[in-house]
Amino acid sequence: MEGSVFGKAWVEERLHRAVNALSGEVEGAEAVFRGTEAHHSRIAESTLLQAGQIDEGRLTLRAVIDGREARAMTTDLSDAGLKLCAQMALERAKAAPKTTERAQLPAPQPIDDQSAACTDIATATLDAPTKARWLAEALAAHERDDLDLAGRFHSGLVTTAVHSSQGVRSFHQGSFSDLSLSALERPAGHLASAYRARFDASITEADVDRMWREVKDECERAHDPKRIDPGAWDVVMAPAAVTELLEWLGEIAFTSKSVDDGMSFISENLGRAVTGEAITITDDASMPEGIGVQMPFDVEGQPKHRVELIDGGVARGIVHDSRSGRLSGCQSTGHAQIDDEFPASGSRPAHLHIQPGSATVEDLIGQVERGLFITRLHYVNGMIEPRRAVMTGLLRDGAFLIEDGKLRHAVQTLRFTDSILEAFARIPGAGGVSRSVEAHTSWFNPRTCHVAPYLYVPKLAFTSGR
Amino acid sequence: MNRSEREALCERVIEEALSAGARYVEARFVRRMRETLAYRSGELELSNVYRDVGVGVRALYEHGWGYSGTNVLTGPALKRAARAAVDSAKATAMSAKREVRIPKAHSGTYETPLERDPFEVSLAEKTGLFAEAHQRMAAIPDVSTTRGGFSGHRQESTFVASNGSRQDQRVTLCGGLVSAIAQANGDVQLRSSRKSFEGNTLQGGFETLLAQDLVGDAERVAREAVALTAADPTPEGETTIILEGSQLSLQIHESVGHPIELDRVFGEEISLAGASFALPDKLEGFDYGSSLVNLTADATTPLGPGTFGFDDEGTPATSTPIVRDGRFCGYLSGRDEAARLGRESASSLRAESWSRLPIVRMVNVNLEPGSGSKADLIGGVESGLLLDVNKSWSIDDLRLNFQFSCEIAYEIKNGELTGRIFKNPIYYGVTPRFWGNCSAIAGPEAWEMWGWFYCGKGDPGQIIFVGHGCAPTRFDNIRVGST
Repeated sequence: MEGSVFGKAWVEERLHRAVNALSGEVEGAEAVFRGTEAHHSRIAESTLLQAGQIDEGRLTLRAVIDGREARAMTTDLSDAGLKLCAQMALERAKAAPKTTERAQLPAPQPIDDQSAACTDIATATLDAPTKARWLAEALAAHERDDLDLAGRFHSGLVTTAVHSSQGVRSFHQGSFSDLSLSALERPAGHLASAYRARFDASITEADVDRMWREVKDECERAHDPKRIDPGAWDVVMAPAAVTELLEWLGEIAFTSKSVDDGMSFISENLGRAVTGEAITITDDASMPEGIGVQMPFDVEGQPKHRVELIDGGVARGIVHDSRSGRLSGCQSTGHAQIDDEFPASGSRPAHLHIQPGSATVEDLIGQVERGLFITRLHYVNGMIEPRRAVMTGLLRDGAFLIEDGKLRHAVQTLRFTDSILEAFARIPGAGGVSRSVEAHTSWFNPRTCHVAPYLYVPKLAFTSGR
Repeated sequence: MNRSEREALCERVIEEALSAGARYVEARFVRRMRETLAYRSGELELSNVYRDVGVGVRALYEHGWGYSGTNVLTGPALKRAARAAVDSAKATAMSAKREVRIPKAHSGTYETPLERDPFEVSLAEKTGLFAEAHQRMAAIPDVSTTRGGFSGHRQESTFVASNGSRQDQRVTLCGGLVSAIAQANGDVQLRSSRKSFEGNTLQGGFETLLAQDLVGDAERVAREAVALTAADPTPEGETTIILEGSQLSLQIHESVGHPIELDRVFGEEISLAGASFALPDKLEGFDYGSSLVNLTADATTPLGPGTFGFDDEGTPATSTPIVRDGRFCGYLSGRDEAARLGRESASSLRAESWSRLPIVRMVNVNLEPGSGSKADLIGGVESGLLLDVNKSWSIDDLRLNFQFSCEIAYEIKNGELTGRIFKNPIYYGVTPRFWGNCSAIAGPEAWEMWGWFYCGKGDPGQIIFVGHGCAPTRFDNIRVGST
């Protein structure tokens, strides 16, 4: 994009320089650039509480020597910074002990640069003063009615590029907007609340306007949430709740690490039913629904392929990077990861989708004699018993009682603890899954985007309350 | 870049922001180094190092704060960053409701005391530890996978503010763990050394890792992983539990540390992390726990990852009482949050790096020691469980209803450990009732610091290192069970 701090020519020159800094010293060199030019805004107490602009470019260099590898990352993108980065990668690769499996860099694969189609310039450059203007009426309306408006409104441009000594040359830029709004009775978090979110490549003032009016209306409908008892409840989950479970499924079951450790429920069950027929899960970064944010390749510069993970309840596979693919006798599926903060290695899904069904949201609610409508979950944890996908978490923001197929009053929080595989197995076919889907991202990672429908899940086990 | 060059760079940014209309500006030059190693089944699986350098700017316009950060350290990029911070401040000023005062200046330096710089220790020495631990674990039948992890981190920051503050700090952390996965008896079980996930990562040098004796602990870890595959699930019911320090530190983290963050209390974190039950009307008049419970937010504790000279808005490190004799009396706060209660900052405004806005974060939130030994605690239990090492955690958006699972439960009968273990233990509670059931805390000899390297908060997300000092502690009438 013209005017980008991390323009294509500059990024490619830096990558070229970084790879060349290792030439002659290594059998393989790979440089990855990940740049974010983001305008962050945060809303709380019906004010624009925080606003900022971050330009951050990270270059990660992988050196392979005699089958051993090491990575060094730097944000010092000067000539001297890149030289030091190359030196660190080289020294560490040389010092690394030999491993049974020789490290190799993957060969280039064809990738179309879809940057122009993925970039909405207005969204990429949306700044804090503009957001403040777009939100001014919303903030005033909530304040006037003694409500808190809270949320996030992040937007910007993400740049990803990979060069390697094997000939990989991949570049992609795309815009993103990450908006979530909560309307809350005061004191916030103690009484009624409502929540909406959207993650997409573009956003307009009308989108913001529509969302704040929805949350304000719903918060007013959620007044005086009633206490309910733990037990087995039939629930209808909105996509924001479902994608949180989906992300945990990705972490505990579809990564190469989870399979290597024997912790994934997939590894010993390929070709067998692990959940119900209503559930088909894929990883597809092309965003075929036309929502969300695309990513054409991974941090090895390999094209992201659509991967069937669970098909009609039957375990089909996991995602791979080049190494795990090689060890499994297949190609990379384009799911290599780098995480600078966490010691993560191997493959990881980043664009999970649950296939939509045939129902409308009203159909799903209409099936429930007495149950709960769940907008959003809080603090889900899937590490309790990963081989059964036992997860726990809580209701949050706009949970409503359903009686006789109709939404009634709001309810207070409860904790569920259940095997999500067993819970999803109770979904009554395609009629328990909505046609409509939404895209959500995880905790500010614009390179992650999951898509889910509404789900009707009978008898979810709620184990405690306050 | 030496200190005077870093200060000069910060001053250029500050001048630019002042000329753009800011009435007060802080600039932080931050340089971070991190080394991460992952060892799997006898082989080095991951060897990463990073070097992160950039400048963050916080500017005040009228009563609104704006923020910017960049790692492009050229003149035009720094000018863009300074202007962006002021533009953002002008945007927040449009809806700002409270007066923001310019603080007093503070200057000084801080450096972690250490014996061996982890970045000077050879890769061979580090991997040698994990290779030896692997050999001991892999020798135990039915161990299918072994893992080891190492983290070394250095954070250097130069803080300059338009009020004349000049601060320079250098913090170093080091830690690690080993773990074993056993597959037998139709089950798969994980057991870790004394703290799971990233291991115990403390402020200090390589000596802090060596002190954990991961090699000496490896065989026990592996044997318990195997034993867990044959163990019964933890029985359901209400019982007395003793939490070992590792698990207790996370209990403190989730049910004390986060709810006492004053920004969360005011609703500033409501959109993502949630709020807090500990509203200001509870200050000085609410029983957070039993009379045995004393908690302190202390940014000066030795070995604590949350120890420093100054927080990231330049406030000198303090020690703040949170709970005294069970009574709730204090918060974690920065200047602006504390001012809303007429209090002084608890020196708790911290940022992950130059690329993030400083927000209220934990420092070291410590449970003060009681008396006696762990054996004395066990001796007072007719029937109960000793729970060790966290496996999962979850707590509601007011920090009340929580559920933790641990790697192992050791049975206690008639004041002694019976030798029987249970797998997949879970315990449940509601924060003030749980701490109200605290019936004994072991003494200073059993008190130690536990580091948590990956505490997440903020939006955009920030990961920061915090500490919790504590000794094993007993709680009565706790609901336990299994999955």
